[in-house]
Amino acid sequence: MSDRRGLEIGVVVAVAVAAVGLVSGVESSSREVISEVDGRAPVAPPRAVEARSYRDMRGRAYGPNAGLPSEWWKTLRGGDPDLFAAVAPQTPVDRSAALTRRAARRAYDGAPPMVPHAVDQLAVPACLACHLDGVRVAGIGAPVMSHPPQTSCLQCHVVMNDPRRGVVTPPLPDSTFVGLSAPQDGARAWNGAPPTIPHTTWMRERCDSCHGTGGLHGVRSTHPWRQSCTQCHAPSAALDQRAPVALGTAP
Amino acid sequence: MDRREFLKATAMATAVAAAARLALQDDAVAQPRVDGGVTWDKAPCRFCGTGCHVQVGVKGGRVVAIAGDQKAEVNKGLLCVKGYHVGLALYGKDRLTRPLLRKNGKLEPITWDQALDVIADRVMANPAGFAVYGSGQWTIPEGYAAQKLIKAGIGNNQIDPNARLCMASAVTGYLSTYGVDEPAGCYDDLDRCDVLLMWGNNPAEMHPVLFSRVIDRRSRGEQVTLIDLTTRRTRTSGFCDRTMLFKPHGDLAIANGIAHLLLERGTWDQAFVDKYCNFRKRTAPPTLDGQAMTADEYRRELAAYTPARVEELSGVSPADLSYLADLFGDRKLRITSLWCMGMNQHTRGTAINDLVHGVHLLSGHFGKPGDAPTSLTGQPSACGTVREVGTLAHALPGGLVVAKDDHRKEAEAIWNLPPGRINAKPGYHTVEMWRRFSTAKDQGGDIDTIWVQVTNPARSLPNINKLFEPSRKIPGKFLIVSDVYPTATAMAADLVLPSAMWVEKNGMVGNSERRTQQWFRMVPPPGEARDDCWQTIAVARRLHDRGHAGMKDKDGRFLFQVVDQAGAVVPVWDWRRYYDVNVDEQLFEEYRRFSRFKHKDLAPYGEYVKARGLRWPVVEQPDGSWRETRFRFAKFDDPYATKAELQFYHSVTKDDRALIWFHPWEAPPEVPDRDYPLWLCTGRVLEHWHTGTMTMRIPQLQRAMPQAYCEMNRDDARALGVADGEVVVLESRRGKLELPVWLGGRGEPPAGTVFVPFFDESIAINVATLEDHDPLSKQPDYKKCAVRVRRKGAA
Amino acid sequence: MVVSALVLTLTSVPALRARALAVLVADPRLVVGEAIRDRLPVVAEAASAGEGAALCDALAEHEGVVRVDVVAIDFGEEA
Repeated sequence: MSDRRGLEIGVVVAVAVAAVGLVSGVESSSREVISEVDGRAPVAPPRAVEARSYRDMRGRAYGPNAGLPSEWWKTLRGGDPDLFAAVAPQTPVDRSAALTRRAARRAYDGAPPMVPHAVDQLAVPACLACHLDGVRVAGIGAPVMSHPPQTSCLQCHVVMNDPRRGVVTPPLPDSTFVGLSAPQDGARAWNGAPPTIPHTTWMRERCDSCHGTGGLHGVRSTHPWRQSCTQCHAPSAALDQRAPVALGTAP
Repeated sequence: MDRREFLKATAMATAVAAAARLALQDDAVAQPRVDGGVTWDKAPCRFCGTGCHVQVGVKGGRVVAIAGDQKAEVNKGLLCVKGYHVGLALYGKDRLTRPLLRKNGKLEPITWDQALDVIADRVMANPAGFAVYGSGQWTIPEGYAAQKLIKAGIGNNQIDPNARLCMASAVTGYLSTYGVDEPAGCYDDLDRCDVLLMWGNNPAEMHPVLFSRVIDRRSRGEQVTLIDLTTRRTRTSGFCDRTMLFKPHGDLAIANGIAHLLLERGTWDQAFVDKYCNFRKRTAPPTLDGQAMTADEYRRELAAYTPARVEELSGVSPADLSYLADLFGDRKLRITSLWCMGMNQHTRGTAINDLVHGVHLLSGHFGKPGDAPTSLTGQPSACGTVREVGTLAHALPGGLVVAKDDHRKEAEAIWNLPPGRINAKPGYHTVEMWRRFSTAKDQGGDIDTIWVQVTNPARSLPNINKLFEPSRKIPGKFLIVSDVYPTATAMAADLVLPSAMWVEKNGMVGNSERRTQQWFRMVPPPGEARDDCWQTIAVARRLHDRGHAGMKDKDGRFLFQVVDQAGAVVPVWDWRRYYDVNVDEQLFEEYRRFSRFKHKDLAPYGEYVKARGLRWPVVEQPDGSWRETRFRFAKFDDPYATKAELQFYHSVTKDDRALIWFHPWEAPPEVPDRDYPLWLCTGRVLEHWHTGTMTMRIPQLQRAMPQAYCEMNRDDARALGVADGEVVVLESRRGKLELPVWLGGRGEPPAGTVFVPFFDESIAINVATLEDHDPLSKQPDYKKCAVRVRRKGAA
Repeated sequence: MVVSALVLTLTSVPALRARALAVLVADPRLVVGEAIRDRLPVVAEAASAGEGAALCDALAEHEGVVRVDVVAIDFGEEA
């Protein structure tokens, strides 16, 4: 951790030395949305964000999507995902990799994931436009939200980078917190039986958010066309805070 | 190396450092994890006054996960981003783990035994100059123990809390209007109201769970109209049907304007007012009781508040004012008003609170589910510990006050004290306490030792250059701080005591809707950190052993005598024995006897163990069960309202009626002028809680909002030649600081206004704020003072 | 002359990443540092600010480059 502090100081010193019209800090562009959900190469957007001097910055549009060039959207893939497309074999290693990637945006299993792209800090969030049903644009996957639609999204989901522009971001604080990890797999009554659900289904009612066609390779369902998941996969009353009350103890 | 090579080498160093930072930043969040085998238990969230319940996941003596508690009525399984990450608040790397004493200017480790002696020495040397400065984050038993130490033991009444800075004006508003503190309504109003009117309130960020509770009704197809009365556009504004920007301090004119139109149009609820209300005006000097006025007088006073005059004072258009008056004039609608610091941190805080209650009473929008004026609190137990336990300079538990003979007698009876033990003279309120602590003894600074628990006055007091900083230089002043992290206050202290926090100890708190909540200790505190409540009892015992007469009751027993089931005394002042019994339970059971005086009945401790909180009055039923009260003063729900549909049974006028006050608009103490042309407003943001001592140590929250900023209008920025992100100097008559500007950020202030959040300890905005305060509540105004901003380097 | 300090975020797909690195190293306008995980420090040299911006655009279009962060620019010797 002290190494990182050292590097922070390094940045400041180096910037100070080279400081002539610098853009301090690191530009947070919407480019961060690129998550290689399907493990394939993302299509790079055609323009980089320019470095700007302070003088240039006034009066320009800096909405969260100001950096998104319009041509980009032309590559939007139409139509619904193919529920019957073959799913490549998935190994425990794939699952482990998928869970690791998933964990990078959560403090612990069950924490609301952080938002990996810029958002408008003031306006009513338009998250549902992409996350209500999920969308894939040019290699970027916006997952289906895992819970029923609610509208104050930023109440729980915050951005991963300094939302301000043109500032030097202070270093992250040191923490000794160790979060609960995602369970590896559900229990099976016998080899070949449908596994039980190893995590809570509270706020995670939409199984296709992670296990659907847009899910990470390693945790995808082999049969996404079947939509009534809990018909075969049993949730846990204890994990869902529905543990039965011992009869006779209540007054 | 030529210049070109040097530039390139420097640039590479910069790039490498940045690459490392970016690469490793991902790490800080993708932390090691643990699997399965987790024990879950309930606790209220550590942060705001909403009072959400969380489920805490514990494994191997550490908190590893948090979930929304589905059984909790407040939040119904949902949380905000602070709540989801509350467990991480325990695990900042720099937790305080040993007592520290300043020696030759440096804080050095000492033993607990030595620390207790240091405090006892200070008290014994000058009991009159010893004060406790507490908090709305104290648990109920912690606050109660400190209250008893001061009021029953040391006897100088020098105890006041940071909640003075947060909700004191709401208290005086309730007291002057209904004769008794705390809201009549509750959060159920949010599920039923047709109109939600927010007075200088930004619940989308500050009380997010309550806000989404309302707006999610819209997703279910329900109709609810949201109105935002505000001095700057906020995240709340976007969700509102109507946003009305008003000039700072204009709220008094708006409330009077609504009342004026209700009377002029005859749309006020005459039947309701005739039955349940009296009119009231202020006296000079002002008191909570005021004096009677007739309806005609009231009407005459309001006549000046025509829509045109209101527009002049507040900037709200006649059309908007008329719209508000139409809503209140409509008897079919249910209207809930919400407010928090906007109305409370106000040099006319009591007045604006009274006026908003008055608009509701005048129009009969009171006493039905969804029809309620409801204040929100910023701290988890501002209500439970400060308002109910009465940890204020003038108060005793249960709504009693030291100035009244019969109240002192009641308290002396419960505490088994000799008659006359409790001092009738109130201690100093917060601003006065710190002013005297920051003043030399020979100039009237008669407070020489302050023990701070669970708060960070070095950052949260107003005008800290006057109220806090001088005390660190005046010889003979001694600051004791109990805290969990090296906060700005702790680092400036003479003695630092490491505390246990949240689920490292047992606790009880009370939220904004009169709901008392309980939790058990789940994990051990780090190192030698110990409960604040233990610290208080241990100091009391040390004083007892030194022969301080106040530490014994009239039968010679220790003030904090705790017994086991067999009735044997347990020496809980010995830390090893502290958890032999449930000290919280014993203190609570004693405290609960005070709750009957003002019909704020609390149930036995065990009831709270079973529940996700209960709203007082909690009254025992014939079958032995305990029933909470959702709607106070209303016959259909409140067991103490028996005479009429609505009965204000603690009425100031002793006739079961509430008071409708008239207060004029008057200019604030400081307004922008040629030298300091901008209004400064301070406040919070979603991710951080108060001065950030906990939330800034949570990587997920810190990375989303890593630093404070100066929010500015674009036109003002252009006029000053300031670019987005540029560091500016912000200056008031009291102090100055440097901070970056953020244009088009979280909020959008109108021209002539800047906003700075106070969560960032490294950007101490309270060097600029005013200590001017409301004459009755003594709550300072953090929402408006005059400042100027210039580019750094510019003259 | 304009010198820019950049951080390129590379794809995690090994084949694409190797190809991208090869292209970047071969570019005479660039000095490529040691990658730290998926972040690659790069110094770019250009004759003018406009050319520098164009170079950044071009880098972002490279297959295997996910993102370009501009850390600092020295306009000091812009002609």
